[in-house]
Amino acid sequence: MRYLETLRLGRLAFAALGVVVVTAACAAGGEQSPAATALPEPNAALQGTVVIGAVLPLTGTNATIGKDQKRGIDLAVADINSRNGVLGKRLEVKVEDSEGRADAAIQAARKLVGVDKVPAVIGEYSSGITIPLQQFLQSSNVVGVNSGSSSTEIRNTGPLQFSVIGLDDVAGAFTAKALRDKGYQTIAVLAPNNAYGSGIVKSVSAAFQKLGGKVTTSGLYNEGQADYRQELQRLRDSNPDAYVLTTYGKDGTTINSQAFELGMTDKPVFDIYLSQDVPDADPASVQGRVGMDVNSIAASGKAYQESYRKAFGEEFISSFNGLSYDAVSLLAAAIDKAGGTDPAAIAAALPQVSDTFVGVTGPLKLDQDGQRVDQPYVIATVDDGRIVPQ
Amino acid sequence: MVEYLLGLGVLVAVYAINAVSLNLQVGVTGLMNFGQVAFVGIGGYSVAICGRYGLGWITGFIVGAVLAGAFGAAVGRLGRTLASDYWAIATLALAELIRLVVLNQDRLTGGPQGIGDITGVWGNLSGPARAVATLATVGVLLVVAALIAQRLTGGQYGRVLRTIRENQDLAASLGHDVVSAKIRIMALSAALASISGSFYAMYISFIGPSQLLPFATFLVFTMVVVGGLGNNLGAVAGAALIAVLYDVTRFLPQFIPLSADQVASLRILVVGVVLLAFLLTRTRGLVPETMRTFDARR
Amino acid sequence: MMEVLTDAAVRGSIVALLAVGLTLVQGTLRFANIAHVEFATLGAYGAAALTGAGLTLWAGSVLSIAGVAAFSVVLYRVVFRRLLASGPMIALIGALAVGIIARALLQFVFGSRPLKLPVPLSRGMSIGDATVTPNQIRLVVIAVVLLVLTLAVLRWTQLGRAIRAVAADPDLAEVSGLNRARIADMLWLVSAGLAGAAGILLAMDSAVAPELGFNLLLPVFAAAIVGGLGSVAGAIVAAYAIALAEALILRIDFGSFVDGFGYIAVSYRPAVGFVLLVAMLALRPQGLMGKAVRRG
Repeated sequence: MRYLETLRLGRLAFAALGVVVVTAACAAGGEQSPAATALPEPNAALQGTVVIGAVLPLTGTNATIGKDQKRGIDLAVADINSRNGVLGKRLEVKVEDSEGRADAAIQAARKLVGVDKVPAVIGEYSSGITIPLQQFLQSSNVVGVNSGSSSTEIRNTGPLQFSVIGLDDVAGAFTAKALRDKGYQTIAVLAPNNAYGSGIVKSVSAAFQKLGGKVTTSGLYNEGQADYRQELQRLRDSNPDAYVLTTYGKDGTTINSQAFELGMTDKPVFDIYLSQDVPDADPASVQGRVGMDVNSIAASGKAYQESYRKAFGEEFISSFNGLSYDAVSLLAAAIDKAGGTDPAAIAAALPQVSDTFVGVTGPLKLDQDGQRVDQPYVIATVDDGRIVPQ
Repeated sequence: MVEYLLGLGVLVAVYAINAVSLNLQVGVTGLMNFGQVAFVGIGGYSVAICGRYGLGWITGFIVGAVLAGAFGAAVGRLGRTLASDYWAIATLALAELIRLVVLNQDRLTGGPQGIGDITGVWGNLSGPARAVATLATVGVLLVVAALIAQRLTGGQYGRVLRTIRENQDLAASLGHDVVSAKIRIMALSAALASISGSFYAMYISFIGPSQLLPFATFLVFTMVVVGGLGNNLGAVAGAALIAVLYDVTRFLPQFIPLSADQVASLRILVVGVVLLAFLLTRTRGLVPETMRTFDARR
Repeated sequence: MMEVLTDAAVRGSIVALLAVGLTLVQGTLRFANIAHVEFATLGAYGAAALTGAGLTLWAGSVLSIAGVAAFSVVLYRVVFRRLLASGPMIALIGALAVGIIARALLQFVFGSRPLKLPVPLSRGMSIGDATVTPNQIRLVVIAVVLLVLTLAVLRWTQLGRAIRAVAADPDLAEVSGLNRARIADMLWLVSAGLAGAAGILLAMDSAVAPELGFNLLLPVFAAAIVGGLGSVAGAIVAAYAIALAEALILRIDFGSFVDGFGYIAVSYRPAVGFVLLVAMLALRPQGLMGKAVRRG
């Protein structure tokens, strides 16, 4: 008797749960997919495939960035396949999830290298993951192309490893100059506690001090917390002329909201890599903010912006789609030049091709360490939740 | 493909050592250690830090085992007056504390980005030869660990531990030093877990705080429960089954169209459901513990 | 100083709501439910889903809390009771498994990107040297009301007396006519309901994510154990005390003894609770207000 009672109750409850879940799924799904998407059609004449790999943070703290990086890749692949493909064949990029963890990233790379036998892997986003990833790829004799991390330690991951994104020293110098140009004497900096964040803090602080300014305090916040008021209050207590912020993911949303609540947005806030956090932020919390970003948001990237909009039905959700787009394009060109998919040949071809290659984020010329020489940045402001280049 | 499978084999062996260690604590002695990942992490970081200071990997292994053993003994001592659920929470808390310290101590542990470029295993070889040599090495480690565990649980000492698991007061009244037994088994298990951690860190040439998250402990718990609580062979079997299951589910997107979030969560869901299913229906696991009978004729 | 107090009030309120539920279940059913904090996460997601489907925040919250409370009863009857029958060890691991499943399911359905409840962003107002948003004030008030209500129910109603009787001596309670099963159901309704409310309040102040509850697991257990498992008042006092200790220690500028800034890293915040927990377990396992611990 008891058992039947439980069974009935259980069935009822699970039915109710099912209703809630379905409602939730509809509600959740409803807000995610934008208008109709249309990638360019592939060229029917292409036979066979060339496969390369990518390891991206599709889940975890940086899922928004990972999703956008994947979009850049998807768009590049579609564009290439709608023209001449690679070596006359269709290009395919197998994307694996790093889950935002280094050991998972390496397991994913292991699968790409061992099972899919790719000659090159694009990735990741977080410097703390890109570095071990590239070290692994180097020891497996596979080419790596970094399209998201900017720690200067990436310079030394190996001769088969490259970056299409300008490293921190460049971004730091640009930011510092922009800040001094605006007349700020003192700044307080907040960045995530990882290789990316500590690199940014170091390079911005050094460059700013060289230009005669002073850093009142700098903070590195640990990711994944629900509350950042303590870190923000420390920044506020140091009383600078302006705050310098770089953040992303769900932490970015929280930080921006709480900075607003604490009244910190009454002072100027300068945002490094605006498109990392502005799309996820409450528009009221970022209104009027000034910041910098990579070139693909500028006027010269108009054609690319247009094709992104057509393909995904919305504006850029981060700065990083253009970089992974460029990574794919550059690799495709190098494979064509090398005439095959031997990693060593691709690695030799990359610097040669890069000399004259202009991607959607600007000229991709690589230096002798395989790192991008020239990374043009752009200053922009935020109006009504949208990033507007100046 | 072959190299991938060999890599999977190494992963299984590493988890198996870990599972044998946890089985000694949970399965044999009834010590609910929710902080197992801390021992593994100590091993990994010892090897990394010793490598950083040029002390060589052997030193790293030994330092890790000793540190973990000491920590295990301390934790075991803490269990002297505590009921199992309190102690379990305390171990979880301590493991999280260690993770936080590691996360924040930039200079020693590399902070959130961890320590990379650790000397690899069999670095002078390459390709399939390297993979085979690596598998063979960890295989030997596993066999040694299993033998130690078997020796321990087979004889008189094993009976003492099991008595402690079933009824601590009875064990004490029979004259056994319960606290000392707990301390010793914790120290030994911790050292074993540390070895598995040291090896894995060298294998992927990297150690970071993301490897110290509680999910790693849950995974090993699943292995031990599914394999069979109290049975060493069961622990190894459970490790093989669950490690393969968890890794192989990464191929799911090829068959079912799912978003990345869904794949990641589905893989974890599978582990959770398997664990719960076994706990509800087959608590003795796949390879149940064999109880020795006190048969005078043998 | 005000900042420390407001910080402690907000965090302490959330931890208290969860710790009370946990300590009630532990005291009465002898079940250390590691998955308890997931009721908070479920509550928050329920509210997010319902408000996303068009309900107002109040309606969505109330409905979600009711749903979570009802679900907890089913969960107890179908899963936890079976696990408990196999022994405390199996129950503990089982609770672990339920927690993992809950988080994975939520991520599967909702994704790992955080959701926001429809709470308008508002400027904080200054109270002393603290900046407090109206949302936070509301949070503390609602939490305190709920906690006081719970204490009142336990103290003065028949149900409360029955719960305390079962907690003190389950067999005697059964023999004297109390329906243990029904009381267990009511217990779960209350404790999961409180947890669901905590989750929604917390989500209103930050965001809804799968790890919402899990991030509080250790402070909540610390509060429950430090307060003495089974003692609701103890859990409440301990929750606020731990929150206060956390806030204080983080504000201390150790650098004033040396040169420059010497604050403790903020991520060490939960460590304060852990240290208190471990110290309490080592020195006084029955907690501040609890009864002597039974051997397990």
